[in-house]
Amino acid sequence: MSRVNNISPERKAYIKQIKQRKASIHMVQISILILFFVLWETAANLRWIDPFITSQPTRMFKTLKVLHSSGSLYLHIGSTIWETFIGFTVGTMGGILIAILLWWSNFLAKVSEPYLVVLNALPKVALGPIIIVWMGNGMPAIITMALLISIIVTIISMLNAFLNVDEDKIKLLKTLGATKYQILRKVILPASLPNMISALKVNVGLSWVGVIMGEFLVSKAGLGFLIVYGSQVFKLDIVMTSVIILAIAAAIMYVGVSYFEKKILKWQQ
Amino acid sequence: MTDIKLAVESVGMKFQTTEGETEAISDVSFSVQAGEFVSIVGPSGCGKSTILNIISNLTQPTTGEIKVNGKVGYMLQRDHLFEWRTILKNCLIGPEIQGQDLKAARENVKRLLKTYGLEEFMHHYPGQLSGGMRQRAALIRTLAINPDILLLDEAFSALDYQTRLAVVDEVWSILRKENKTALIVTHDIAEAISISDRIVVLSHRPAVVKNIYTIEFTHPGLTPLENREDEKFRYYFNAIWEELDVHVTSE
Repeated sequence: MSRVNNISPERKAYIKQIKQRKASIHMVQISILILFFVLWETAANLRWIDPFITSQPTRMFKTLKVLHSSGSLYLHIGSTIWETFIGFTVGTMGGILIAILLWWSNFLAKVSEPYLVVLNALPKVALGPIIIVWMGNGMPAIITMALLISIIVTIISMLNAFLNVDEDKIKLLKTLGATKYQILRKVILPASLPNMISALKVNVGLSWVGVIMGEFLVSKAGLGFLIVYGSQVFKLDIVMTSVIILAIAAAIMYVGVSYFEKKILKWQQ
Repeated sequence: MTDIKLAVESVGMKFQTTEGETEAISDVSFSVQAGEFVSIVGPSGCGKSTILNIISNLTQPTTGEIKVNGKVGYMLQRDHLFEWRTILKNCLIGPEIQGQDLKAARENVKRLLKTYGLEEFMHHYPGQLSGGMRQRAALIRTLAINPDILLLDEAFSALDYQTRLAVVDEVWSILRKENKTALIVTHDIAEAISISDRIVVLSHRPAVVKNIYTIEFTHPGLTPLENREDEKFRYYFNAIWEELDVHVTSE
């Protein structure tokens, strides 16, 4: 390993090249985004496309301002994020807890296997109407939907991860006289951490799906509600604005999970 | 009577599966004395590792019994260091599991790491160490619980040949220095001869003890690597090779 103050010219050139490449990738990514919006705006202004059905960035911005000044923007964003967050947290935690339970009892795992497979294959949207009847016309129904959609996948993927932990690692602990609980804590859980993180990542996406779906079906507030409402009254400005906000919110949540991943998995580098 | 650390007394083992019953071990008896290095060699699938599993209480024998006088440490084929723990923490897993005084254990492990050249890697993760260093760390992890008897199950076979010769020397001298008794399972006859005081040769499955060799070199007291140069090395090798009766073509 060369020291920091002793970098060869070749290394310098190499590092520079890497940095340049990174910078150009970022540049192109940002350019595409800007170009897309500029093109959209121009196309709408020149009437290549009909802004009444496609909306356009300036109109979306105006809509945003209106929603902002009426204060309802934050109500909608807030309730959607809250529902997603709860659905995500409970779905992930619950899924992991149930997976632990099934790992603990092989008998239970075998018994539940066919049920899990069927529940996993079943499109959870189909349960929407039932959930609404049972849980009422509001937030609990939406959260339940988000939870249902992520919990089954979490159970299956986490149980798989637990069962795939190297047998010899477990044997190592057994030779030391470890109890089942110690095996769970010292090997199974830490070894499955990368899988847990990827489950988190998948669940972020799934929870958004569940929440928006739920909001389409019932809600009185939220971004999903705005989208449906906007399309029903044919105000595509509202629809498009909500979709963009949704994209930003989902991206932020994903970045949060990635950050969490980096902090937790420092041994993987 | 000398100080017997470990006695295997007419142990037999049958495995049950849905397909049927397999008799892995028929009747195996031998003993290991304090400070002795004993190797078990035998054809593949003859239940060598099963014997270690029985000794370390992972499986119960179908017949016979095991008498262990002291604490047993087990070293597996691969190092199985936990990637998410630093070397120091990896070495402390044993005391942690067994609820020993962690402060004392930490001092002990630090001493071992220092003695055996891993001090500066104490806070590194296993991924940052070479194969030989990882195996050394795995040995220190095994030693951390202060075992009297070490069971080594093909503990070097995951290493490349050069590293392996060096690591065998290293482990041998560490175990000698720490005054340990060792029972080594290996498929490598040369390795067994170079490191052991006695060698137990097992037969094909179901295993019985075919012979027990006491290794006496013309120049005693040398390291395993130097032992490979001894005049009698070849003799033992041939004798054990004959005994193992290896057929490559006919199974």
